[in-house]
Amino acid sequence: MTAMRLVRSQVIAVKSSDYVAAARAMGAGDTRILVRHILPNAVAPVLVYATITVGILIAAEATLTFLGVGLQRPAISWGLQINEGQNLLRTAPHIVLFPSAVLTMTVMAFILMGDALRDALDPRQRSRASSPPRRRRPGAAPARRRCSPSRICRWSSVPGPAWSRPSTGSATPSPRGDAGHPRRVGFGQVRVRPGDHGDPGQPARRDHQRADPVRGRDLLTVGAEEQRLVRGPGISMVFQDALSALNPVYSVGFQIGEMFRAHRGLSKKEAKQKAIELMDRVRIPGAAQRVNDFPHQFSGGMRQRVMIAMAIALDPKILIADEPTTALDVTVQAQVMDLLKDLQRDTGMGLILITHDLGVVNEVADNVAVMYAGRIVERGTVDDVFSNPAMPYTDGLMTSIPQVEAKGGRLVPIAGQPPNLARIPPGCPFHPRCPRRRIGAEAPSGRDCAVDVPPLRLVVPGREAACHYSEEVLGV
Amino acid sequence: MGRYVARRLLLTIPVMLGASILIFAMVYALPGDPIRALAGDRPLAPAVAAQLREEFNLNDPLWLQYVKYVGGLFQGDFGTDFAGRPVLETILDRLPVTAKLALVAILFEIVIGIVAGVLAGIRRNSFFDNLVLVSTTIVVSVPILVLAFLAQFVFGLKLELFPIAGVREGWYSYLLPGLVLAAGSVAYVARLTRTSMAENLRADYVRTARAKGLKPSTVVVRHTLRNSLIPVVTFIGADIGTLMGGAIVTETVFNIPGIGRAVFESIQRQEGRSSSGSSRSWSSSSSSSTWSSTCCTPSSTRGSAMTDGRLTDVGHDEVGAGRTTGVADPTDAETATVLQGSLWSDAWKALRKSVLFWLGALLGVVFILMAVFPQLFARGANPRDCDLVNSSNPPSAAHWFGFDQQGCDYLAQVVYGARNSLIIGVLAVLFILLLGVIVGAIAGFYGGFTDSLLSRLADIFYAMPLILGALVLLRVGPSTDIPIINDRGAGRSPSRSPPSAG
Repeated sequence: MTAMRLVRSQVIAVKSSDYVAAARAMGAGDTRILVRHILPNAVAPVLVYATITVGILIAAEATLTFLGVGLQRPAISWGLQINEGQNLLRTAPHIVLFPSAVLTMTVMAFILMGDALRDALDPRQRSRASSPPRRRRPGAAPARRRCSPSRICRWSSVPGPAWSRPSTGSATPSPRGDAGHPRRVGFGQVRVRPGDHGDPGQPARRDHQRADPVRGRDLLTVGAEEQRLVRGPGISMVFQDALSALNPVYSVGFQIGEMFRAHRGLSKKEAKQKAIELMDRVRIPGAAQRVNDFPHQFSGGMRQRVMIAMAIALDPKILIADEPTTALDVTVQAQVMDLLKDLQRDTGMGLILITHDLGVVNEVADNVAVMYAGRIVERGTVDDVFSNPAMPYTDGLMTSIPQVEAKGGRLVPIAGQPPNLARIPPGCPFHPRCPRRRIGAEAPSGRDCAVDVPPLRLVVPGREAACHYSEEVLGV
Repeated sequence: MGRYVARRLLLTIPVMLGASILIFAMVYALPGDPIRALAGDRPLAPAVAAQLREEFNLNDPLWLQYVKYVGGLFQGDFGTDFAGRPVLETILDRLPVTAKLALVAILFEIVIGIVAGVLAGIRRNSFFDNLVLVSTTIVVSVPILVLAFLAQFVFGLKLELFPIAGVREGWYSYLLPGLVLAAGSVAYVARLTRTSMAENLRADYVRTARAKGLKPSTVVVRHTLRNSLIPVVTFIGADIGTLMGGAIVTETVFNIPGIGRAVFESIQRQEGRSSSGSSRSWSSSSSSSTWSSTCCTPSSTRGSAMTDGRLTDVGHDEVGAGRTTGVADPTDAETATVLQGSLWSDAWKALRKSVLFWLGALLGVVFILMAVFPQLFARGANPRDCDLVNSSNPPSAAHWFGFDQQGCDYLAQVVYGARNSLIIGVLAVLFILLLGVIVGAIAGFYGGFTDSLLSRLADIFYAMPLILGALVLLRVGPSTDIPIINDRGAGRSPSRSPPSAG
């Protein structure tokens, strides 16, 4: 009856899909839909099940026969042979051992085939089956986050010893090993850093999650335990999708209070009290009543507030907010941004806001860092960068903002497609899409866009850009 | 939560009732007269026979017998078997032994399975992880029957670490059979935990936990393990049914006087057609099977309901023969729609590179050749050509596998055994698929009442012990030499023809 369950769940999964509806709309009858459109989806899992079940049933036959309820003499069966040998184990062990061995190998044959089939047929397992074992990392599982031109890729990383470090794909060395690229890989992103923490002269590859703002040391070089102690009181983070970023099996009060228990050693009761205060502070109504609620009982905006409460619990020096308002509707977005702004002003913490929303940047940020293909390509104050970009990519971003005045006109997109992070183009990563690129004979030596990687350099006071021709772009 | 559990338990009541009706009907519909069998060779005075019939309600129509039986159950009266011994006494006598064995097995599952799974899940692709993967594949492939003899042979006979058979005071003598009984489930638990851990470690909330600066141990135990154990606990709950099935084999091989052994004994006695054996075995096997299925129904149906919609939940209630390995993945719509067209070529590309697949395929081809052309493998020997002079002779250069007790060439015997296995395995699977695909498609497509009805019917089959189904079908079948193997459905196979000499 397992086959029945299997088919049933497959049918239910596919039944309501669009192409079944389409077939129905074209007038196909139930039987036809079932046989032609739905059941083929069940073939793969049923095939896996059948292969394995042949093995299981062969074992079951032998077992039943052994017990005397299967085949009877004079039939020849492994079960009968094992039964016969069971009292001769001491004097003639071969009578049990040989049929046992053959039986085992037979069963194993079908189970191995079934296992391999399952791995091959399940897209989520495929990377495991096909890539060499050493190289694969769980984070590189293909189905997890797809990069597409329409969806700008974002890998967030919270480093930790056993943490499965996200990588750009199994074919390249880990981005960490590549000196030119910081481990926070993201492109098409504007990094906003209001406040004035951190050292503006630092090289671009400084990982902001590990940059200890207080003592100015490179957190990449310290031990895991020290890094851990920085997370929370030093640097904390608000994640994008609060529903999946909160643990479903603990109350929000517990999860907020955990910060105090882990870092300050407070008792459970004290931690809960603190959690209520924090929930008040992020303006969750009825905090004392809701402290024992679970994440799924909150609305999207409230959940994001819980996230924020957790992040500011220990008065961090730096708060990283990773697209904190995606998945929220516009009014709630504004509320959450206001909250973040207020908290930043009240506490004086540094806020690193990762976002695609240039409007939010303009409104909230003091400084902005533009990233492309995992590198910072331009840095400066918001006013400077927005009014006068020093890098063709930033320029492209600005021209592709929809303008109210130009309503009805066409948007000017950036030509080409975001690069595959597993194969970042040589030279300037933006050069295949750059309208100002100079390649080969056109380029002065050492400044060939397709060959030489432009360093992030000071172009004019207060402005850094990674482009060989920034001066031209700026027009200075 | 409490309400959910209560609702699920309520839902199991009709399933339990259905299963008990089915079992009752099957057992009591068996051909033959239990009263006459009770009397053996001697003729029974008609008056006595009539009195006995009255006593056992045998004159009533079947449904009334059933009602009286269930009514008795509710009053704590489990009835007596035909030999006059209260069934309850037999059960109470045997139950502690089986319970102890099952407890040991579950402890093994929890301790070994979960620990191995957690460690493998945390360090995926490490040496330990691969070790767990390979060893669980092997363990799952070894039928419990073989495993039992292997353990007995190695640990009992050769190393003499454990008693070979029987039970003694204390727990020590339960360890080896307990481990054998648990082996398949341990492997399954390890894999389930591993997959679940690895998946949860990737979850966003675990990332959050790290970002909060929690200790690595806290992150793993509090924020990953707890969530990961949900499917594992479900499985272990449902697994009690499997253990009951496996206990029949384990208790038989290790000669442990539990309920499983009782079932085996009654079957054996019936085989011998000893005087009152058959009738006694009917009632005792029926009662103990009813009992075991009834007691396991809530857990197994609850488990199956929770695993509904998963790619694999084979292995419930099998005679512990083997299990699907690997992941119990939810088959979501995403997978379903991806499973089209290029899927097969992609899958083939992946398969081609899989060493395990080729190993399995190689073994499979050898097995099929053995079943189809046994002459090729038997080295010219005829399995029916026996000479008692050679009885039980060990392997030699001329006879690689030695001889069996009757002095037949054992290589030929073993090779010719493949044919029945193949026929039964393939036919039964085809039958199951035919039934399963039709019923499943109808249930899923029409939904609503049809779905509920068919799903509960399937649950009833789940709740029925495999062995009882086999036993009953074997008895009901036209003649004893047409054996029937049952796996939640039935497959028939002709076996009468001994392979012709090659």
